[in-house]
Amino acid sequence: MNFRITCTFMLYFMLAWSGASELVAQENFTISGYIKDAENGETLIGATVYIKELDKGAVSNPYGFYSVNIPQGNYTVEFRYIGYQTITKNLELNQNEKIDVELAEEEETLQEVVVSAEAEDENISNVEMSVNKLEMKTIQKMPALLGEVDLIRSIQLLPGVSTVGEGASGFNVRGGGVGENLVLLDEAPVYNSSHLLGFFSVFNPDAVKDVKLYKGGIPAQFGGRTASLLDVRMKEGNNKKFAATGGIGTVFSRLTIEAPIVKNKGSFVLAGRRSYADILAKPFIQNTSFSDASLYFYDVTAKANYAFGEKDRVYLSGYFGRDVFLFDKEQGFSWGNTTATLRWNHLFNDRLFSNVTAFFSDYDYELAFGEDNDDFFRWNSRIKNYSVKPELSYYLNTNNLITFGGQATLYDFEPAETTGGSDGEQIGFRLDNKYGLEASVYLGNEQTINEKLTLQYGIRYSLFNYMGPGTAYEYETEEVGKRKTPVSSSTYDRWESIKLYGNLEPRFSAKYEIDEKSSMKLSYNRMAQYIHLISNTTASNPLDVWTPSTNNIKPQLADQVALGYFRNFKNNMYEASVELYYKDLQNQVDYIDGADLLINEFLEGDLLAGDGRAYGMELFLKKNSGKFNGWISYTLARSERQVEGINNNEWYPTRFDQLHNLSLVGFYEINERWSLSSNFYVSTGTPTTFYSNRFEFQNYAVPYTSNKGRNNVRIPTYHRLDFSVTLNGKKTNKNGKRKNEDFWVFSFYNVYGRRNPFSIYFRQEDGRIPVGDPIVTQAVRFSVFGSIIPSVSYNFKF
Amino acid sequence: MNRFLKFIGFLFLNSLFFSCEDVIDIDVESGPPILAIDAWLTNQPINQTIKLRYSTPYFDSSKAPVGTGATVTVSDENGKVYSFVDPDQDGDYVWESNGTDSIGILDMEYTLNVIFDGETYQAKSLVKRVPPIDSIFVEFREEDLGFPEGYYAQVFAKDPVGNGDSYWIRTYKNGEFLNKPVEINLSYDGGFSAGSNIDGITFITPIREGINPFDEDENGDFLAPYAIGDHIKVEVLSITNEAFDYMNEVKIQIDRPGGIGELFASPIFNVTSNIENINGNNEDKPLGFFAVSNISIAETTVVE
Repeated sequence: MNFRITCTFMLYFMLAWSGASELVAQENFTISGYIKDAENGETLIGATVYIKELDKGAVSNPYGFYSVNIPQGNYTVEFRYIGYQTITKNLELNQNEKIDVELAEEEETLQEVVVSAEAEDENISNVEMSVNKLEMKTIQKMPALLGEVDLIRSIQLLPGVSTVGEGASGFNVRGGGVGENLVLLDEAPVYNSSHLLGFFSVFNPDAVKDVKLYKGGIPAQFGGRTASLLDVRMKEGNNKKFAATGGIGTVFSRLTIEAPIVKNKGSFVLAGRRSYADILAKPFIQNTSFSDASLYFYDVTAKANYAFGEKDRVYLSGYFGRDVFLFDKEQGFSWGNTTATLRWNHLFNDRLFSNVTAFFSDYDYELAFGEDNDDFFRWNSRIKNYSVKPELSYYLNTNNLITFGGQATLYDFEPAETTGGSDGEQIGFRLDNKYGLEASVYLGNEQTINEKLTLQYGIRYSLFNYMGPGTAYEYETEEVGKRKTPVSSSTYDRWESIKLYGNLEPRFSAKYEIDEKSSMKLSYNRMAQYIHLISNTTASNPLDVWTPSTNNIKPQLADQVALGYFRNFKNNMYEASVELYYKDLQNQVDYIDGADLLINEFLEGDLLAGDGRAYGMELFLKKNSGKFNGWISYTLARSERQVEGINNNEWYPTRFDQLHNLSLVGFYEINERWSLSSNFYVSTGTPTTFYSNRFEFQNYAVPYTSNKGRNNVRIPTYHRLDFSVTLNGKKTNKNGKRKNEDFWVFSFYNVYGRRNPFSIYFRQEDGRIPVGDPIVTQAVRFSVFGSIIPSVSYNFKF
Repeated sequence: MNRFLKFIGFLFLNSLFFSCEDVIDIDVESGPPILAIDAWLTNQPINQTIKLRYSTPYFDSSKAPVGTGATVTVSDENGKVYSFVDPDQDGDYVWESNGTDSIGILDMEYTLNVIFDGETYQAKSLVKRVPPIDSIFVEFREEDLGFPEGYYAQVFAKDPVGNGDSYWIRTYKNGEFLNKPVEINLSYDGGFSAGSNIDGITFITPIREGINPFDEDENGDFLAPYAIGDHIKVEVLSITNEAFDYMNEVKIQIDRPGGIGELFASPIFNVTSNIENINGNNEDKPLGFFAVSNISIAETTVVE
C-alpha cells in the first residue's frame, strides 16, 4: 500500500532531517517530569519549561508531562504557567533529571499587576494557530444566561465561532455545521452537547479543567470532523485534600467533590448537576392533569486516577447525562450521552511518553406515546461507538517533538427501533443497524528550525469501512434534487465490507517570528469526516440521527488554508491577531425538498451532496491582565454551498452564514469583593427563505418563492448586551481567615430587552377561517427571548 | 409532528423561556402571476369542479384573479372524455353529474388536459383503492395534559394489506370543512410515512384522532373539539403516493410549528406540481395538482 511507503518515507525523512543537528552536539541529557498545581495536585496543561541559556523550551502535554533533551551544562530552568508563580531552578546537568514541580497560584492583589518581561508570549511563539483557549476562571466570570455558566455559550464569543440563535444546539466554526465539530470530553466524543434543546451545554463547569478549540491548523493526531475540535478535559480531582465546590443557580444545583484516593498518588472527582424546575413546580401542578409531568435534566461526571509507580498512571472517567420530558408517567421523550474512558499513561523512558485511550460513547433518545397497550408507540435510536487510541510522543531533542499513533473506532448506528400498537395490532419494526469501522494512523513532528522558524507537519491516513450485516441499496436519480428511488439491494454478512473509503490527510503549520513581539503563521490541513449528522431543521434537534458514509454517501472532505499575523503589545499585556482562512468543502450533505429524515429505511434517497466554501477574516484583541481586561473579537466571513437541485444549482449561503460577527467581553474588578463583567454581541442576521407569492389550492393558500431561491433574505441584525456582578464572600470572619469561599453572581441577560428574531416565518392568520373567506397570510417574528432575563446564583467552595 | 411540538411548547418551554412572537410587516418582492390549477376529483356521482386561478403576492389576501376561456377535459384510458365547462366565467370549470355517472374507476388512469392561453397543460392520476370507514368513535374525556374535558372523536379504518396505499382524511364539523393547516391529515399505509415500513393496520392513533378540530381560545388554551349535537363527517380519500407527497409538501409549507418549535422548522420550498406544459415551454409551468380519488364517507352526531 502506498500509504505505508509514505509513512515510512516520512519517518526516515523526519529522523534524517531532525537528526542532522545532533551530529555536532555533545552528550545530551533529558530533563523530564510533571507540572502540577500546588494547591490541588491537578496537572497543568500547556505550562512552559524554559531553558534560559538556550532560549528554548517545552510545554507540558495534556497530562502535565514535559521532556527536554539538551546538552550537558549549567542551566537556569523556569517553570511558568499563566496566573501562577514562576519557579526557577538552577541545574548542573550531567545526568538525566526528573523534576516534578508544583506551581502556586499568584496571589490576587489589588495593586496593578506587575507584568514581568518574561510574561507569556505563547500566541507569538507557539506554532499553533486558529486555536482558542478559554480558562474556566474566565468562563465563570462571564455573564451567563439564567446564571448558568456555560462552556459552549462562552466559546461562541470567540472569533470564528457562531450560532444560529439562542436555544440552538452546538456551535458553528468557520462556516461549518454543528455536526462537523468533534466535541471530546476526556478523549471520548459527545454527540449532543446540549441540555434542554440547546439552552445549556452538558459540561459541568465545576468539573472542567481545560478547554481548547482548534479551528484550523489541526495537528495530525486529530481527525474525524471537518470543522473543528473542541477538546474538553476534566479535572483529575484534588490529590492533596478533600474539596467540594457547588452552587445553586436558577436552573441547576451543582455539587462537585474531589479527594485523594492515596495522597499524591491518586484522586477522584465526582460532579453532579440537576435542574430543579420540576421540584419547584410540584406544588403548583399537584392537583392538575399535569401532576405526573416532569421536565428535568442532569449530568454526572466521575473520574479517578491512580499512579502505579513512577511510569504508569491510569485514569478512568465517565460522563452520564440525560434530559427527560414526560407529560405523564408513560409518555414523553428523553435523550442523553454516556461516555466512559480508560486511559493509561506510560513512560517508556524519559523521552518517550505514551497514552492509550479506550473509550465507549453512546448517545440515545427515546420517545413514548400512548397510554394503554393497544395504542402506543415507542421509538429508540442510538449511536454507540467503541474506540482504542494509542498515542506516543517522542521528545527527540529540543527541536523535535515527534508524535505518532492511531485510532480504531467501531460504530454501531441504530437509526430506529420502534414498537407500537394500533387498536391492539402490533406494529413494531426496526430499521437495520448500520456499522462502520474507522481506522487511522498518523505521524507528525513539531520541529524548531531556528529561533524564528518552527514547523509542525504530519500526515494522517484514515480509512472507513462501511460494513454488514445489513442491506445496501442502489438508488436511481430520476430528477436532480428530487427523491431517489431504490432500484436494487444486496445483503451483506457481519463484517463484510459494503464500501471502503480511504483518505490521506496532510497537515502543515509554520510559524515565523518576525521579532519578539510579532509572528506570522501559515497552515494547511485536510480533514475527512465519515459520519454525518442528518439535520435539516433551523437548529439541530435531539432527534437528529447520525449516519455513516455508505455506498451512497461519500465522506465529507475539507481543505483549509489559514494565514495569520500575531502581535503582542506592552510586554504581552495585549495580544492581537488577524487570521485569514479559506476552506474548500466536498460532499456536504444536503436534503431534498420535503425530506423525510426520521425513521426512513430509504433515507439515502432523500440526501443530496454538494460543494461548500467558507472564507473569512478574524480579528482578535485581548487584554490579559490588569483590573480591567477582556477581549474584542470580530469575524468577517462567508459560508456557502452549491448543491445540484437547490437554489437553481447556484451557490447559496448556509443557514449559519453571518457576514459580520462582533463580540466585546469585559471584566472589571472594583475591589476584593465586587467585580463586574459584561459582553456585547452583534451579528448579521442569519439567512432564510421568504415566500413571494401564494396560490389557492383546496381551500389552502399555498405559498411559493418565485425565484426558487434558498436563503435569499436575512433576518434582522442580532445584538444583545449582558451584564453581571459578582460579590465575593468575606475572606475573613471573627476567627480570622475563612476556610471556605463563596460568591454570588447576579446576571442580567439581554439587558435592554431586545427582541432578537430567531426566525421569521410565514403562516396564515390564527383562528378558523370559514371556507370561502379570504385567507389572510402574514409574517411572524419569533424571538426566543423578548425581555431582560435577570438571575442570581450562589456558589461555594470548601 | 407539529401538533406534538405545539404541545411541548405549550407544556413547558414557552413559559420557561420568555419567548415571544409578533406579526411584522416586511417587504417581499413578488413574482409575476402564474396559473394555478386546482383539480381534485372524487368518484362521488356529484358535480366535479376544476378551478383555474392566478397566484397572487404573498401578503395579498384579496380574491385571486380567475383563469377563463380555457378548454378543460379529463379522459380515461378507454378514451372516454369528460368535459369541464365554465359558462359563468368564474374560473370554476364544472363537470355535471347526472347523479349516477362518476369519474374515478378503480385502477384507471385519468388524464387532465387544459388548453389555456395558447399553452397545453397535462397531468395524469391513477385511481387507488380506499378502505371503508369502520366507525367514527366519540368519547367523553376528562381534562388531560392541557386538553379540556369534552367529546373527542376517532375514525377507525384499516389499511388493506400491500405496501403503498396513501390517504387524505378530510373532516367536516357541522358541515364545515376543517381547513386549518394543522388539520391536514395524511396517512401512508395507516401510519405517517413510507419510511416507517408498516402495512395493513388500523390507522394509528394520531391519524385516528386527526379528525378533531384544533381550536384554541384567545389565551392559547385548547378548546374541546366536539360537544353534544355536533355533526361529524369524515372522508377518507385514496390518493397516489405522488399526491401524498404533494399534500405533505403543502402541509410542511403552511403548518408552521410556531413558538419554540420554530427552532426545529424545516426549510421552506416550492411544492412540486404534477402538471406539465406539453408544448415543451418549461418557462411556463402551472402550479397546482391533479388527482382522482376514491372516497369512503362516514357520518355521526355526538350524543350523550
